[in-house]
Amino acid sequence: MRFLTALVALGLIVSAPAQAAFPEKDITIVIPYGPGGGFDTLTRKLSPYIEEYFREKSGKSFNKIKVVPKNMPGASGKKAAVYTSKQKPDGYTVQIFNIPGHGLPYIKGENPGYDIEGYSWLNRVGGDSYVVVVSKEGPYKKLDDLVNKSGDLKIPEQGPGSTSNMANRITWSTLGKGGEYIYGYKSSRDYTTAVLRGDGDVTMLASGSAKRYNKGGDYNILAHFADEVDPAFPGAVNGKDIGHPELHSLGLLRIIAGPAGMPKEVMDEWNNALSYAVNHPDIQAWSAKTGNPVKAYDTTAETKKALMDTLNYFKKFRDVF
Amino acid sequence: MEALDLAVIAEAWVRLFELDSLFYLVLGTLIGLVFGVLPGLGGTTALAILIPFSMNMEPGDAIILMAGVMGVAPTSGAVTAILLNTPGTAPNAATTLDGYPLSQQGKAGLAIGAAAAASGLGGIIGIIFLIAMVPITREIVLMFAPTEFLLLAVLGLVTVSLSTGKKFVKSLIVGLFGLIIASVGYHEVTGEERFTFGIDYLWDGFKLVPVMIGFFAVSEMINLWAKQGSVAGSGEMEAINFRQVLQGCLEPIKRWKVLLRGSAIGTGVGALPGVGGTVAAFMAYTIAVTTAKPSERDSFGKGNIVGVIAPESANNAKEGGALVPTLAFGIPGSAEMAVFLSVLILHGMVPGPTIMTESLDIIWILIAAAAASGVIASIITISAASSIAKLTFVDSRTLVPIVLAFAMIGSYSLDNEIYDVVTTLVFGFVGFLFMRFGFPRIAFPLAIVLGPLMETSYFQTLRIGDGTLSILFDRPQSIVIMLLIVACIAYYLKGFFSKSESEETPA
Repeated sequence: MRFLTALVALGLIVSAPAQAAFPEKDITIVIPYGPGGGFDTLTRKLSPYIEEYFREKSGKSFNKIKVVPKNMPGASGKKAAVYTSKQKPDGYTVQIFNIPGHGLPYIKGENPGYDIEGYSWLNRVGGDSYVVVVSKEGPYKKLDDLVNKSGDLKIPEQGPGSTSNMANRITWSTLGKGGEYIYGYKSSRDYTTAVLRGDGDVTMLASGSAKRYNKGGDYNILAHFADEVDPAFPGAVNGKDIGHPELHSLGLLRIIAGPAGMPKEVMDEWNNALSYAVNHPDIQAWSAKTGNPVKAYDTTAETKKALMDTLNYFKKFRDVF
Repeated sequence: MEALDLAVIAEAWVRLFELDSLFYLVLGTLIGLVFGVLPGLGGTTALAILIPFSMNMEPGDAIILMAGVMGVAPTSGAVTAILLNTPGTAPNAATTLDGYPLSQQGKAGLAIGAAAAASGLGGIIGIIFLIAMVPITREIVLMFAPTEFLLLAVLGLVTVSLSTGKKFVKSLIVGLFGLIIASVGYHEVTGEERFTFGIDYLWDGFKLVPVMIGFFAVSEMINLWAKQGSVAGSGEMEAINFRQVLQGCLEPIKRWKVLLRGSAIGTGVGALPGVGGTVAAFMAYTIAVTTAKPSERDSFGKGNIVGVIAPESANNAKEGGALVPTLAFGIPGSAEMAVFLSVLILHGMVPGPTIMTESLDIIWILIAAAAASGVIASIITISAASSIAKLTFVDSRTLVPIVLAFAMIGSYSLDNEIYDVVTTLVFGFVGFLFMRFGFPRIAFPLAIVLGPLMETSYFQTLRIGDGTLSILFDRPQSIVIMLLIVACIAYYLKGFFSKSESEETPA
């Protein structure tokens, strides 16, 4: 009898790992760009809090599971997206995605080697809206001044296919204004300085970046495409004010996703971990201080819906890209 | 002028000499030394690896640790450049040109001593220049538009071609080859792919580090293996002693004009975002050659100590310059600075115009720590120089496999990409062929770095100027750079002709 009991107990122990909670080993978050950028900074800031969630969840203070950010730059983020799509869908490799950037091939109907709809979409970690930025010293004091300028607007930009380039093209085509793009600036900070220097007339930025860059008061923010204009941009109009509320859909999302086919319970666990990290008071305080908007959704279904809404909105403008 | 608050500057130095600060400074310096010596791994990699550790540290300590790494990596990269023709970091490639020939003559100690002293002093001079520029950082950044970047790229290519003297035509061929290699990949301005042949690896173009390791280190090892013997060849091992190293240390002081000019070029180029240390080092080298007496020019590339001092002082001084766009607008002046900025953001600071008012103390701690780490690195390098310089007497049968292994590991470890190793091997063979047929290799790295900058700035200038290049003549700063280009050519031609005349005059 004692032998039988021991056997049953042993059986329970052996079968235990099958029901063991995720995660049991270190986790990798792939960053599709090099060290130093916005995606890199945000992922590295969140990683310890994701670790903290999994540690508290396990109830073991000695739980040593690490969340390891891994930079994989290349081909404007395509290299990492292809890599992640080929990993096991067990939740141990996930990636931070740039939306609409990673969705550009989907929007244009091209095949980049990954299926953007197929990933297991877990949760948003950042989201932002766009603003129109001009130099304070320049001749443009309101959005109409730009629209009424004779000839095309000169717009310093990173390059064709960048998210801000898409935002610019959609905005100016909606407002019936032509744009001549000056490509080749290395970062948003770089092309915003180019506007200040007078290389071009105007550019567009995520609102969080605009707040950071405008701390010295060098710029005027003429429009903020959101339902509520941020109080940090006094005098700015929104899409409703100019009869184009649809421009409020010009969103920018930072979403964590894993390979297609992740089990539902692992996806839910990830969703909770990301919500925990994003809503942590430390992260929210950091977000407010540095102007990095950090937000999460409640469910994975909500995340997927936000993704598809954004992509389908951009898809309507595929002819202007 | 608040930025130059003496009390804050003094506090930063006091803070640096606290025990825990010194610990982080020395730790950062040691980590930087190791990463700088290993080919392929540079300051950027070291900083990226340190980010997670720095997050739980107090901001001042984190910045001292990071500044320690940033201040030292270029110094240690010079050691392998001199001993094995293998630049530890890309900017050290310029140091191979005269540093390695010195090793071949059994004067590795002299070269390392000069490089270490020039690095340490260059770093300090760069920071002095930076302090002088602090009140006008904003104006400096706004002064340089794509128009000026285009002309600076041309200036770089002109000076490097001229510096090769009689081999001018061969040098142009090497430069053109570099420009072709630089054009491979997705073009950010036109949105088109060029010469990628459907290969995904080529989408981002050839990466600088694997190409450099191949072009300089692997080619040299093929050459050494073909020749047999050791790097130092007929030199005498006994000649390498601490005295030789100290003699080397005194060289930059004796040639203080070269040191100052190199540091000024380094700071100036460093202040221009996207141009970087490689250009700073090569420009300092070529300007040292161009401004040398015509009778001395032939000794460059054959072991002239000036060819070590100029690029090494520029390479370290550029860190001071790289802080200019960072302080003015939060634009990183170098790859290391980009990672460093993310560390600031992780600690809740916002780089840009307001950092000078909000986090002034941190900025001065950074500057003090960077200067101190450069000096610590120089002292460590100098004290170890006479021992490590003996590496140049190791027989090629032992040395070549070891260096090749390190070169391949360095190339692979950059991105864990096997194609990088293939690139290194291919460019190793190409570099060997250039050497074998007497083509000066110096124009190649500069063409690779400046090619994309020149092309992008050209397109931008055209767009800004409504389809013409006439704005080049509208901007005073552009005109000054154009005059510099003309002056360089004229100065060189003057020397060239006067030399030809003196050669023709019968003795």
